[in-house]
Amino acid sequence: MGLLNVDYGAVTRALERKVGLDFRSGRERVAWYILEGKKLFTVHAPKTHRGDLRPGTAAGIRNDLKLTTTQFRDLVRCPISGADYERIIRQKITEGLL
Amino acid sequence: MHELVRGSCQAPHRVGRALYDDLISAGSHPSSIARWGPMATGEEMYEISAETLDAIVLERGFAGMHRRMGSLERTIASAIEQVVALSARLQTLEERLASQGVTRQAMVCDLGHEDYALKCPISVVVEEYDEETVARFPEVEAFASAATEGEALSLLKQEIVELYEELLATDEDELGKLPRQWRRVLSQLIQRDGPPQR
Repeated sequence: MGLLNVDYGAVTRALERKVGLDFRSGRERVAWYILEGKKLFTVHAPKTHRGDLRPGTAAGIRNDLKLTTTQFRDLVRCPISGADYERIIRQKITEGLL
Repeated sequence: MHELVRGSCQAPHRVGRALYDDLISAGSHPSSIARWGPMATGEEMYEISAETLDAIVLERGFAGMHRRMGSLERTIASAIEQVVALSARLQTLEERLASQGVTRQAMVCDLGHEDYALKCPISVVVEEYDEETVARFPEVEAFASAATEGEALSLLKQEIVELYEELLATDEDELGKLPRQWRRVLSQLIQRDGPPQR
């Protein structure tokens, strides 16, 4: 198991259901993370292919989400909920990072 | 364990009481071992044949070898455990290397778009992995992934233009801190080349 070996389907589900991203609106490969009506950052959609995400793409999406490698894995594999993720982002806003 | 020193001739050998007891308990018949002594010290001594002594030496040699084999087996088992642990660590390192890719910088001079041009070349990051190449412009968090560097750069340029257009089209109040920074950066780098937007 690699450091960022994450399944494409699991990542897509986490982005859509937990983070609440909608890749069908706006640009084709990118969705905005919106909190309280403000567009905070963009998140790239995983490319459509079977199996694990490629490492560069996985690292890019992890970076988009402002998560550490461990947090990203936890988001995809369940320990981090949508509410947890929002708390992480709100904390970064409080810290003046976003 | 009682000391045994084998003589160099075929003459009988003398052994002490303790070894005599060992031989009896190991199945030797008392009649096969002649009593010799006692010594002046009062110690009982016995004579055993050279063949018997050979057999004892051989048996004790095997016993020693058996002990050493046991020790060797434990050493090998420990070494195997260490090899398995090292193998797991090596696999982790290989995966870490594979997930990092080879990174270098590249200059982009043109956005490949009819309507937009760069005011000056920009430096982007190119990361090569086994099965993909990623091009990134970290200042606005744009990235694109493709099979080759050329394709990744082409997609990155497209992404930068799309991001710029989207940022320009969005009211500043709707943008967070990061996208407002991105808009400032891109406005400094990009100029409109083509006909005015309708």
